[in-house]
Amino acid sequence: MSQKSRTVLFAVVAAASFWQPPTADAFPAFARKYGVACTTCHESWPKLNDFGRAFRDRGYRMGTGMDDPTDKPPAYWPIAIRATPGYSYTSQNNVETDDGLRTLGTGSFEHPEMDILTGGTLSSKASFLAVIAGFGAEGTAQIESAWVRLDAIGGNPWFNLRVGKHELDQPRSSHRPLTFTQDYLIYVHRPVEDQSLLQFNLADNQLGVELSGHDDGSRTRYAVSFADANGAPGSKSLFSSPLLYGHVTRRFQPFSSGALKQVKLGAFGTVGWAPTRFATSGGEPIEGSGTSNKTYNRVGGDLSLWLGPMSTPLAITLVVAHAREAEDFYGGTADAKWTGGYLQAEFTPRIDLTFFGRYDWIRHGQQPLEELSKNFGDRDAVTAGLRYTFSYSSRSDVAWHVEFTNHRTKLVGPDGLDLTTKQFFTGIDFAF
Amino acid sequence: MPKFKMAVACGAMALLAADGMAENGAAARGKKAYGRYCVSCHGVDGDGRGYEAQHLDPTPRNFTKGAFKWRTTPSGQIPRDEDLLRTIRNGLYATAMPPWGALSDQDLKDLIAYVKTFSPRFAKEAPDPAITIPPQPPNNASSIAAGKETYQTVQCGQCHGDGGRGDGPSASTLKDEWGQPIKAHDFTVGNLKCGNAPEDVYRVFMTGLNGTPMPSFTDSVTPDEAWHLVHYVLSLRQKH
Repeated sequence: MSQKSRTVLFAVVAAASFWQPPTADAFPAFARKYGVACTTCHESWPKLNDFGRAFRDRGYRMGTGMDDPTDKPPAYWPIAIRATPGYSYTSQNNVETDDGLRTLGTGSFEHPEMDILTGGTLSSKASFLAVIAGFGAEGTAQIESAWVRLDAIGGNPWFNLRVGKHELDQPRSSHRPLTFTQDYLIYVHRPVEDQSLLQFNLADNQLGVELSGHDDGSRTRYAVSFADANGAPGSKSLFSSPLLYGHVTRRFQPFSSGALKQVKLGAFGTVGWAPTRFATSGGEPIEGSGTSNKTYNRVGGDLSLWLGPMSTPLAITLVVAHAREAEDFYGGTADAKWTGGYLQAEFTPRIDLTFFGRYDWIRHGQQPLEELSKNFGDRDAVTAGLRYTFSYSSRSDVAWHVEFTNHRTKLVGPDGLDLTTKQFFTGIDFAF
Repeated sequence: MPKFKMAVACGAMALLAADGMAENGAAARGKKAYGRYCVSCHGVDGDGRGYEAQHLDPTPRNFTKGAFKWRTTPSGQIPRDEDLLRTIRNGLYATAMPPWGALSDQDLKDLIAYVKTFSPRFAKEAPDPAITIPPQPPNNASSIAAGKETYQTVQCGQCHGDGGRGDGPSASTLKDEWGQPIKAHDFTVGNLKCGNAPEDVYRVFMTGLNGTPMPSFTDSVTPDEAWHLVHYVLSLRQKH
């Protein structure tokens, strides 16, 4: 692929990937069930607080003996919707035109997408979640999540088994972001995306099983997923090209007093196998024909700090990870290697107001293709914004959201120039 | 440059956070936590009239009189901090009060400090020490039989019913100190609100539940009789 066509492709992908409507996971159906406000479980919705994480880990249970469906009136149906209509303006530099390179921008009210969520307890021993997301301009929707979990097997909270399409236990959930205009790059990045046989990324929900466990209050927890990676075209079966992912965290209070109230340390990693050769039909891999599996992996750590009162904290999260993918996925000459991460800060001076900022970065250590310079595709993205929840209750939440992103990618533009995309978004995020 | 911008942003947030932390009294911090976790049920003024209260049964506790059910202090006394901590941390079974054990110790302490500001009693009174719980005698058939006698002697069945199902003849007439209807607990299913440990049940017999018709039996039964009663009540639960 020529540099120019690669640039055009990148621009298209970048433009398409920028404003992503938030997906899932703010769930007023739980608030309705228990009669609590969203602030009970969310530090700033949709971001969970400690109580919300423990509630989730217990299989959506408060533990008061009133969790099961039979403890609620028959009319109770745990369903919620979420949408974020708003205005988005995007500009990009170094766009090739007949008059040369220009910086162009476009703005419009985005066609809002919507999530429909249902979930909760099925019995004293099982819980579930199903999320249908989409309904955007194309009118299509997809099942983003659909799983059932056997909770506290044998009465032991250290053994919970989830089966179905589920989110990997990421350091910060890509389905509960406070930022709408910028993905967590370390979850989704891949060098020369268009030339990789892999489509896997950490942000996508995966089909498989997850074993997880936690102590009381979810201070120490683990999750291990064994999944049929959605990025392994031509795969024969789960067992021939699996994905293994694990994450373990420990949350603790380092000091009895002082501004630093809480620390969370974690480590995560994944290793996957995927075919690099397969029969094709019309150029597309035929499922089940894959051979010559090669590996890809990610390994990283996460550190979260909470300063100030835990109910109105300054929360800082640092995630750093290293990634490697076998050269065969690119038809290249060397394994692709890169590191990256994000530093995120969220300050909630009042329970209805949150300022947030994040810096994402990607640095390549080794390119899979000889012709690419080492820093080709290196990325830096800065995102900042605020979120004001002007209405919240145990029935619904309504928040005004505004944010700005500046995202630069090295050398991917025409003549090896950098591409910088800027985006502004403001809208109303609501869940009911 | 992006790193610099991020550093500036983090610095600005840190300054704002530091400003927020200047209001560092436990009660002031607890007020924020209360606004996040408690206000929807217990209300802005701690009077149990949060917007959700109308939908809850039993109704949320009104803190303004300093009358708390679950205590280690004698009947009528205000609770000790550790009593409030236990209630908040463990929650109350069969009510809308969930266990808040996931919160940090500091959060819980701050919450307690703020809850105590709703009643002037906490500023004027000091709680008595926790009651003494004597060693538990063997939980056997004779103890349970003796407990059944005590159950009848002190007329527990009037409210809780002869079988402990909360269906005694007076059950439908019970009201709390604020005039709200209140249910006698059914011992036979689920967990006990105060906790399932024998000591938890003993404590309830001897301290009573302030603000409810459940009296203290400390003057009417001996410690041994109370322990027998504990064994009998727990035996009702174990049968099911």
